[in-house]
Amino acid sequence: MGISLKEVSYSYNPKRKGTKYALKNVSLEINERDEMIAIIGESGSGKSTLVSLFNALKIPTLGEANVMGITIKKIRKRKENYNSIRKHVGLVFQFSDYQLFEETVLNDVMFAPMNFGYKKEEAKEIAIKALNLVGIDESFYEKSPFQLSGGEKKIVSIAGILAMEPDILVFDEPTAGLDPETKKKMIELFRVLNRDLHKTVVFITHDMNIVMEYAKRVIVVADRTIKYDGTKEELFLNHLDIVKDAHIDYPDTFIISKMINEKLNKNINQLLESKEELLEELLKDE
Amino acid sequence: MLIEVLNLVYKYEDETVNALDGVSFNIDKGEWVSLIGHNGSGKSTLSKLLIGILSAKEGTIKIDGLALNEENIYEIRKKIGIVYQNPDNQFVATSIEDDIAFGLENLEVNPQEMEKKIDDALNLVGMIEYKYEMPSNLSGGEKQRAAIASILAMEPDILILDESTSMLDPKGREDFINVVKSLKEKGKTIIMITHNMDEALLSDRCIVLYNGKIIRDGKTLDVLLDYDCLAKSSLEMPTSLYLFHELKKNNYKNKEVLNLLWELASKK
Ligand SMILES: Nc1ncnc2c1ncn2[C@@H]1O[C@H](COP(=O)(O)OP(=O)(O)OP(=O)(O)O)[C@@H](O)[C@H]1O
Ligand SMILES: Nc1ncnc2c1ncn2[C@@H]1O[C@H](COP(=O)(O)OP(=O)(O)OP(=O)(O)O)[C@@H](O)[C@H]1O
Ligand SMILES: [Mg+2]
Ligand SMILES: [Mg+2]
Repeated sequence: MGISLKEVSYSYNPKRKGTKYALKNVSLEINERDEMIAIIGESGSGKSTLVSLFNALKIPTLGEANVMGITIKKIRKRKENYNSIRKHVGLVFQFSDYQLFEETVLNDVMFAPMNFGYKKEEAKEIAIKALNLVGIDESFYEKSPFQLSGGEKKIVSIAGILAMEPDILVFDEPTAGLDPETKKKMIELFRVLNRDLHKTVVFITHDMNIVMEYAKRVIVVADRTIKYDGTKEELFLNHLDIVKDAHIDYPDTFIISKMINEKLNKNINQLLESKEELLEELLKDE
Repeated sequence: MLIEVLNLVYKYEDETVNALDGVSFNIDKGEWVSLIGHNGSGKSTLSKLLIGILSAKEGTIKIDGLALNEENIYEIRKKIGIVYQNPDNQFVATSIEDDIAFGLENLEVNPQEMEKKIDDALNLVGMIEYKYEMPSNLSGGEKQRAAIASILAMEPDILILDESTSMLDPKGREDFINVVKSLKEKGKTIIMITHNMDEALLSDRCIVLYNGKIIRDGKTLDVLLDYDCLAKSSLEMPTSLYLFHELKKNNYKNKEVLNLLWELASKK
């Protein structure tokens, strides 16, 4: 179960002559439990396209996807099955404006549970729980989602997915536009979902500090295909070429400890996961 | 003073609290100012007041000596360009080329120069191959770069960038920062709204908004070392400054390491 892509290619306009593929020949397996995956890579490399295959929002142009036991490929008759996929795989879009549509914040977050057949009171309870988790208080419930600041929209759209209670949660740049404290809070929440509730969490990000601190597995998308799928340690330590070609960067802790090691002839671990760990290490080293 | 803001108050319709509540500051020509603060603190609202798409309930704004009012608004819009937080709100045309051309036509740029200005701007952000593309067919980072290009082409004296790098990849971000640095060298004035503290670190000055009020306005390094202010505002220190600050607090003695971190934090 989980998500499996077999030699999938995707084109936004497959009928056009000489069409360009946004994704080419991608194969990938994601378990339905316990994964914490960061998807990184150059702008325009195909990350958003890739994750929209995870919940059948897009259908492979070539190849096939299998999500929670349901095969998704170009020619098929019974479309209704895809709805059940959406119950298992929740996707937060890169742009919250495409996600939010109800008249009030509360209704927006209640939409998924209502859609899944919960009674109104139950749906409301679930929605309020989700809004509490992301830190949106009651004063926002009756506001229109379109009268929120950029960051507020983002966290409401995250709450909308939490309220779906899916097994696999996929976030397309969930921390873009969040202030540093809220960013930390969101990603810590993802960690709790993964560690304590055994959810699979997949997130796209350009923030290497988050990758270093939170990801258990890293997928690098470059040139419209998957160029790397493995640990962050291996990536940052041994794949200079990929880091460079994919327009990614190194985490702050890596850059700073490397610089200290080289210039001051020290031997500090370059793969520390957070700035707090690096601080501790420096204090110990003294 | 190029920008003079006095006692601005703004309240959205139906709201009970002011989104901006008595905001005053001045900005000199050639300054690079970061506008930082928690989500919902009023940064985008302030930027919209500065270009006159929202109008203040109280208070005044002067740009280059001109009061911002209905009479002067078109004159002022020639001097000031904004990249919106959401690039989808920026696009007016159905191709990137036309979108940039639209802005230039408003400035009455002569048609012979137009093509070159469009190409130059697209090259600056690495988007030339998308010149004829529809904005809706772009990825997030591509949209953001196209939106930036349409403002760069107009070469305004004042640039307001509302989280314009939030979806750029590390390389795109670096390229863009270099563009901003060169604009500053040309004497342009930059107001950069950002949640990226490394980006804020590059500016000359930081203004911190908190619930619609300015709670701190000072030299960048002073502000970014002000732990209490940052904590209150949901902000953080850039990693190099964080390590420097915490090591000192813990009586750490190795001067070489401290110097290295300080250099890293204060180099521009
Ligand atoms: N609706 C669309 N129609 C046509 N082409 C598209 C469409 N959406 C995206 N593309 C193209 O497909 C490619 C992959 O886009 P995608 O959105 O997956 O990139 P991404 O890796 O998410 O980039 P970013 O980091 O900038 O968000 C890009 O070259 C983009 O221009
Ligand atoms: N159209 C609107 N109607 C009513 N309230 C609004 C509207 N737009 C914004 N607000 C509210 O005004 C306050 C300031 O919003 P603003 O968009 O200026 O914040 P911001 O500092 O830009 O935040 P962010 O970092 O999240 O983009 C917020 O509390 C927000 O909910
Ligand atoms: Mg994307
Ligand atoms: Mg904003």
